[in-house]
Amino acid sequence: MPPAREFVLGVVGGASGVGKTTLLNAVSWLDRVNTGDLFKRHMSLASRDDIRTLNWAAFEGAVREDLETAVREKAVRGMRGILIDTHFAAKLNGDAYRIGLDRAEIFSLASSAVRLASDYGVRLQTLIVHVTAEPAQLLTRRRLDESRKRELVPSDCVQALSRNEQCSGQYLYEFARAVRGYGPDEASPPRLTHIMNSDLDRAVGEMKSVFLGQVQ
Amino acid sequence: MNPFVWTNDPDVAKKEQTALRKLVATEHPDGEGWQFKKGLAIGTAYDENTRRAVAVALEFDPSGRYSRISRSADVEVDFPYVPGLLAFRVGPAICKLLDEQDDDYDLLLFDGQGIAHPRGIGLASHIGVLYGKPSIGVTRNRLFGEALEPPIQANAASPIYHPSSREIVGYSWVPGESTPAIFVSPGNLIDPKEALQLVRGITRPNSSFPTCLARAHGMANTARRQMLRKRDKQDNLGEHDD
Repeated sequence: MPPAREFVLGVVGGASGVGKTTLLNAVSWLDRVNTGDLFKRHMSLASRDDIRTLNWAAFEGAVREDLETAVREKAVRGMRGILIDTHFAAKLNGDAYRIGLDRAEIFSLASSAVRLASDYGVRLQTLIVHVTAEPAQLLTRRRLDESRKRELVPSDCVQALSRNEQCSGQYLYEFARAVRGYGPDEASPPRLTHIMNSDLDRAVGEMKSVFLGQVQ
Repeated sequence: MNPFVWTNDPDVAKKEQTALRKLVATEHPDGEGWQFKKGLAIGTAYDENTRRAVAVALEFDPSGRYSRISRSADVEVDFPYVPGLLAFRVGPAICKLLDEQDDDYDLLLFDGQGIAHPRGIGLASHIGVLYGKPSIGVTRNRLFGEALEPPIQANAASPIYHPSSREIVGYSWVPGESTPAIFVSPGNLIDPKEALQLVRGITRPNSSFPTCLARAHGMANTARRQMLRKRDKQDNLGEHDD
């Protein structure tokens, strides 16, 4: 029996300012959905930066449904996969960091994705990529980025990086839990890769090798 | 360039220091024997009446010769005097100064502590981390750490130890004959011994303190007094408006 066609669900996250967008642009053959834009749409705000100071958590369920819809659309159209551009950890009410999507919502999204893949006769491959940077680099990038209103409490850089790293592991756990019980023809075990974006060319190369190996 | 946010809450300030302490490095990426080309001696002052912090920068070279030209900045800062939190009182003025400064300096020198500090991040370390530059703190008073008094002879030095880890966090140093000891601690990207050697190199024989830093500090205090006189003059003019 020929191997199942693969559908790649990429989840790429990291602290604001680590250079995630630049690396995502290197994986241009996969369509992308941004959770910040989804939250913004639901919160009807003019600027994505305003999300940091409001209770976006109230819209998690709605955003998870949007993500499921986006994944379904790509699978139905026979596309190779989709990238979810997100933060593994985000500030709530401009205060402490918490996981970007509640763990129950991550599990629900993952379960939906693997069921969908199974329904359409494709094998789901989940690739979670955590993009990070040295705190001093992130501080400098945030200072120089005048296109967005960045938090410039210096300790915030340290906290943002460490919480995103911690929470990326929780995303992996929930995806792994969701695919448990499915066979290798339906879902491959999810993989988590950490990319340190200190040298852009090297980071782009690492990003491409994560996804190029999966998408033919 | 987006400015740094500075809290005016001492408890939040201490948490900020604890978080930033992780970024302090006590060695230069180029290793031992690293030489600086252009330093900035930063003097600061705070005026309680106007609630303004002043910072003055003087360029200096490896021999300690300093420029006649100085740059200064002053900003309104509402932060109380709390030992160990000087950065939150004068830091905003220093940042305003450095943000307007060309990035062609490779050493910062402060009248303040480096890592010889209760939370390991005095003024010199704090600003060194924010700007990613090597930095050193030199003070006339020891805030933290245990040290034997060095022998009373020119150029004698004794280490300052962290009370728990026993790590060397600075040096107590007698610059000249009959001068009291001063305290040198690395801020960022320099180790304690190199910091001491560097400060020795820029201090004139028999001076009691590195001259460039004493001058910058003096200029900051002069600027503070001028601010106060200007305010008093404006207040007096206001009284005659009736």
